[in-house]
Amino acid sequence: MRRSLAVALALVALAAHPAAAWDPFEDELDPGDRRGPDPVPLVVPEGLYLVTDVYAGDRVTDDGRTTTYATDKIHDTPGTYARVLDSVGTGAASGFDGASFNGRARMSDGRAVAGTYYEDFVLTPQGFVSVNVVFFQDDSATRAQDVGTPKAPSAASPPPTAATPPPTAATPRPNVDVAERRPVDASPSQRPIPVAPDDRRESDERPQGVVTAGVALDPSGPVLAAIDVLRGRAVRLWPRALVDGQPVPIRSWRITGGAPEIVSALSGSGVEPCVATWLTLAPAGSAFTLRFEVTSDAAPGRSLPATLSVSVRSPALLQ
Amino acid sequence: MTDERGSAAVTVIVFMPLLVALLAGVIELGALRVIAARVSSAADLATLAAADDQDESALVATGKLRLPPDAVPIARHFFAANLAQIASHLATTPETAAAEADVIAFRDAPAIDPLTGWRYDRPTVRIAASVPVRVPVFGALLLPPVVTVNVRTASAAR
Repeated sequence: MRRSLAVALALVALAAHPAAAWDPFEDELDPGDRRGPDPVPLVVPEGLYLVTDVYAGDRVTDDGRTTTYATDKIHDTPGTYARVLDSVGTGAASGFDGASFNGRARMSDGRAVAGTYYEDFVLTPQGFVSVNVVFFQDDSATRAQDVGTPKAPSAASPPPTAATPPPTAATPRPNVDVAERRPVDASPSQRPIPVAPDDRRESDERPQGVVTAGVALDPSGPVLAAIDVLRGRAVRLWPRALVDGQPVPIRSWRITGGAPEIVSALSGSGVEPCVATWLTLAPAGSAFTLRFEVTSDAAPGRSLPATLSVSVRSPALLQ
Repeated sequence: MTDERGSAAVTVIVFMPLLVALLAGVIELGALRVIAARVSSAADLATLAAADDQDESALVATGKLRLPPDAVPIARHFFAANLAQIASHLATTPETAAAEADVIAFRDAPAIDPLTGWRYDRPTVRIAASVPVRVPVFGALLLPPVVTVNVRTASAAR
């Protein structure tokens, strides 16, 4: 009896093996070394700030005496960041020339316009990632129209100077609308201005007025800065050019940015519209920006930027 | 006297009508909830259909979405069309229910709804309707045979 009991115990001991028990709370109580790698330290580029004004296009206006190079902005907070790379004066070279997606315009005398280079960033889990460089132009060139009949300065005015001091450096003015700019002061202190031959020729060729471009929803409709569209609904966009607010025929148009999901053509002439359809909604609180370049015989050799802010909407229950 | 055989049968016979009535009432109540949900959906979809239209001339002139002048008839039309799917359960015709509904198109925003007090930040179509629904089982149980389902819904292009 004892022998058989001992044999049975021995067999049990030989057949024994560790129990493969499963602990349902193992992960919670003992996470072990399953942690991921340490996060990459967040490097914040110097001078970074939250973007509150978004580039909407370059604007070149000409009132017959002064050509103004400005930048259209849309007050918006898309959640991106930016920093100033370089502020350059008229004709000055910058190490960022050619790096911006919108380029840097030149005056009629060939000098590059003044302005500021900004670098845009988006915040990703890997940190701030540079997405593009944009140039905000801010300059003007003034030429005399009546050189042959200079007006005598008044006695109370300071003596005339040799030339209007050009803006030496552009300063970012994110909250100042171009339309709110004070017109050029016509005081005698700024009147006698030497006119470069190129400038005089340009003033003869260009129409005497402000040349702008925009987008309308009808061939005879007004130019709109922003529109609402229903998702999936086709809208006809008519790029237009205007001189002093009066429409003039356009020679061609092309989309330079923000093209929607469905578009009839990326470029065309002035006789056919751009039929566009948006299928997605923009993030809450933001809108799509559609950019055109328009050419017109009223502004030969120039591409007029036109920008349209598009808010895509869809019917939804409120209550 | 201690023999209780057959007492269960007596109990069942006595309480069976009550049990049947209770069961029928529960089933009718569930059916009523389904019909009420379909009436609400009919109103929801009608306002959505009306809000999916736009005034083209206003869009061209201002760039903003604005409800067309016929937004209210459109909402009534779709409300009646949607109610037609459950017309056999209604105590009135779908057209009558839609015609008697309080339908307002708030073409200018922001606006305050005088009926509900809701604030609309965009052009909105609102339907407030009282739709009579037949509940025959309730009638058989000496309850009102018609129950009024009240719905209020509003839609806008957001």
